[in-house]
Amino acid sequence: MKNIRVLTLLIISLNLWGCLKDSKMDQFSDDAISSTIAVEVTMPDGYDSYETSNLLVTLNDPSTGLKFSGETDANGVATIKVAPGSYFATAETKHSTGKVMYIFNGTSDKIRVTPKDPKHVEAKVALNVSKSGQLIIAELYYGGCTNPADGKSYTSKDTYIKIYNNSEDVAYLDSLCVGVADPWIALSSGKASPWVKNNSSELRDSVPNSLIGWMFPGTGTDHPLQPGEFTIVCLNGINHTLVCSTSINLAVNGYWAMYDPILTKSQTVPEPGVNLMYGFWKCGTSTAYIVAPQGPAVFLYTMGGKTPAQFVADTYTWKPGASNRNFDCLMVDKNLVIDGVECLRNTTDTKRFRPEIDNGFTMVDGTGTGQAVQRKVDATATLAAGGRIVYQDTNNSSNDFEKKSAPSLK
Amino acid sequence: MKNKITYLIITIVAIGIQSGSLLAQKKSSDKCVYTFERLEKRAPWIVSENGAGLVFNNALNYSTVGAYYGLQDGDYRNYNEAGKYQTFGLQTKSYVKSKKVYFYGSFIYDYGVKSNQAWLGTIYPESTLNPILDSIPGKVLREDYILSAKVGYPINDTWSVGGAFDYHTATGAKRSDGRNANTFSHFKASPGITFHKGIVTSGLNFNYQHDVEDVVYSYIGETTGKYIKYMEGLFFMTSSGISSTTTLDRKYNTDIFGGALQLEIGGKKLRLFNQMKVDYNKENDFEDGLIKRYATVDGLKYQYDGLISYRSKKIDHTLALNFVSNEQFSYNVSNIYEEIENEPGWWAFFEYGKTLRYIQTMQQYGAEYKGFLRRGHGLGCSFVGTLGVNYITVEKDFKIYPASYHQDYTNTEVYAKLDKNIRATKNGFVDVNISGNYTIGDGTMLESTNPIVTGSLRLNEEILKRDFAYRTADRANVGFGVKYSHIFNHEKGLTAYLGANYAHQFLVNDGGLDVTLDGVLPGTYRNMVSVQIGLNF
Repeated sequence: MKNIRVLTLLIISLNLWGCLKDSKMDQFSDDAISSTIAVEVTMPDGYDSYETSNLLVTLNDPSTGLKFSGETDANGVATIKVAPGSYFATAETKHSTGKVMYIFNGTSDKIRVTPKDPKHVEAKVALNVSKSGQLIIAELYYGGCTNPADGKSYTSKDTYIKIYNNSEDVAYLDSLCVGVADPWIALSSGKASPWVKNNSSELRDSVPNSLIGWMFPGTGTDHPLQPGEFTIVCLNGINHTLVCSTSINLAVNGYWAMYDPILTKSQTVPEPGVNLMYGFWKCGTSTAYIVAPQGPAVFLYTMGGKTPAQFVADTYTWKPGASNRNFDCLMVDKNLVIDGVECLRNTTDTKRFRPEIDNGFTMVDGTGTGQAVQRKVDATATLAAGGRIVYQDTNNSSNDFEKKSAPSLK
Repeated sequence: MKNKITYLIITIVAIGIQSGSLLAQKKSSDKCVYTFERLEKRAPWIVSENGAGLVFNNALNYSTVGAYYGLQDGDYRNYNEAGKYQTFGLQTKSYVKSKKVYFYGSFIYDYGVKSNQAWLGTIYPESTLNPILDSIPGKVLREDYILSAKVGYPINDTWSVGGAFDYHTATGAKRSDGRNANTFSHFKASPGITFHKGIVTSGLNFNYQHDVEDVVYSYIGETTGKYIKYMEGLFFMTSSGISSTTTLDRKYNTDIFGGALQLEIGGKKLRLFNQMKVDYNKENDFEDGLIKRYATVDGLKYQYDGLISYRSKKIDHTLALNFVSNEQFSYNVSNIYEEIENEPGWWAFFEYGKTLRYIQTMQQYGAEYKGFLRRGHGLGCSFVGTLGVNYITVEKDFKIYPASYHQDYTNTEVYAKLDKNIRATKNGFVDVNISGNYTIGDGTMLESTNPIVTGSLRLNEEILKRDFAYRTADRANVGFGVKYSHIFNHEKGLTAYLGANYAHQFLVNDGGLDVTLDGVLPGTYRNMVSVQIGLNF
């Protein structure tokens, strides 16, 4: 009798295995590990006539890089099932009227769907409108390369920006400004930018230009750029191949160097023939200008007709949360921004540009890879322009740019 | 005069007889032929979870102290194993009874050197389901201090109480970028009680265990092109380049609550010993010190050990049965970086619940027969034969909406060993052994539904294939060993020994793997050598 009781107890114990898994399977179902977000897309005031149905809405979680997408219905609402996280919803579309291409971009506030939140969450994306630009950034080479002589990275030396006239009219570089947005390197793991509006995750309506303000000199028509032509703005206008054989020769007549004999005196003096950009403002104690090799946010802007001194006085701003004044910025209104390209290290980095400037991001594989990001050619527009290269410009570098194994100047 | 001579002769003879009697009384202690395996098979209570079970040890006090060296070499190894692994160690172990109190103690110092070690961010492989790790091979140094102790006290003929205590601390350091420096600490306490009446002995013990491991990665040299990885189960991982903001540290805290029931029935000839053990574990994984908990793991482990012993006229037969079920559930903790309420400008990570992401289950069944051909009336035996079989089945499921992944595999192992004890001289004997095992594996490497195409979390297919190939390859192991023991003191059972073992593991028919796994394993064999020297008393 005793043996039977003992045996029974053992059999019961053996059959208990697997019980915990069975009890947890309901936590592993699709419904348990997902939530639903309903995103309503609206047009800006004055553009209500444009439809919001059948628009692609993308949900992106910057901390994990997860992306989900869906299309809006007849009411302009997209209902999308997602994994838990903290998302930004983006939507975009474009409409042309004659010669003008209107680009509608929008990003929502942060949408949180976690196990502690409701299973169904609603959000709104209010589209902003902008126009396709005449002068665009066609290429960014910022990550540097590796010097085969010593196996070390050759970075922050041979960086350049290719500015291109994407229109059919002559453009003038005079007074055009080139800047890098703060933070100099994008914040990681979805940490919020210090440049958001109060009580919101939405970026301010102006872009913080950090470190130095660079401008093309001239009286207005001194530096024309013909349709289909480009110019190069670089950090150091020298022949880098003499130091690193895998780098580039930037000592070319007509190129522009971000060099000032006082502001950036520790940088290499450009070769004769390389023009000098005008540094109209500087903040901090550094004597060199560097564009982050890990991923900068580069943009082109104008001063809106103001003099440099007036512009600086009107836009000079203390960086929120900064410990000292070395991080002050010039706040460039979004309407003065002509073009911007956001480069990140990881998909989980926090963006620095508003959606109407750049609604996406691009990236290379890391520093020292020798890679560059280049804008894609719009084949249809190029054909329509009679063979003059027209680049794709939707104000979304995720769509407009692609990674290349080598810069075009090589 | 005649009487004096007679008296002298009688005295001399008497002394001679007495001396002979003394010589006859100089008996060899049974400890001369003791082995810990024999002691522990004869009294399975002493290796149970229950410290009170020490009171059922009827053997003489027995201790050992020694040193060892071990070497593993060869490229039939998993992705997280070293190409070459050497260990040096000192160890001591003892079962002692003092008056009415029974003691057990063990201490091991182990120093290990690994070469060509990659993909291991913890001291011991798979000690956590969510490790930080790197892919660059390098040299790893490791040091362990392992202390175990038990005490048992019989209150009366029926009840006994006792306790067991384990403490283990280890450090490890990799000598090339990414350099992980690890510190590990393990503590376990188990109070227990036994009840004995007639042919039935039962016991109950509870246990609490706390494990902590800290790991910090650093990079001294050039960081260009180097990445750190964060694994989440079934070889899914995110990867980050090295910068000033990259997370390079982790802390794994585990608490285990459990208990065990023991039951022994039987008499002198036939006995059945059973132990059923249950452990519930809860692990919390942190980064940035204790600032952010990124994962948590729940688990439940059952383990049954049974031993049937039968003493026949010449042979001690034992049949050991064991069963293990281990279920682990890994949750991803939702952390949102938010501004602290009423503290503008100050941000912190806040937890918003957890989502079940990974399930891993394992069941293992084993049976082993051992026959001890006795020599004499003590514990000595001239021949030991072992035959055993093990069956393991593992399932892994990983889910992140809408993607789900599944892997399963099994291993069936049969093994045999023969040990022969040869009485070489009056004071010395030689033990030789030969052994072999054969394992066949099978399974499904990966089934997926709606696979992940976006995001930073990616499946590392290279190590998925290598791990699966390693675990399911058909393989065999053959080995032999020899040990010489010399008795220095028969009465006290003081014995010194020197032994060595060699084993060669190799793939059978290239592992019988699918063509998609051709060339995945870096090698087809692995050698294991060990040398031991010590003193038993």
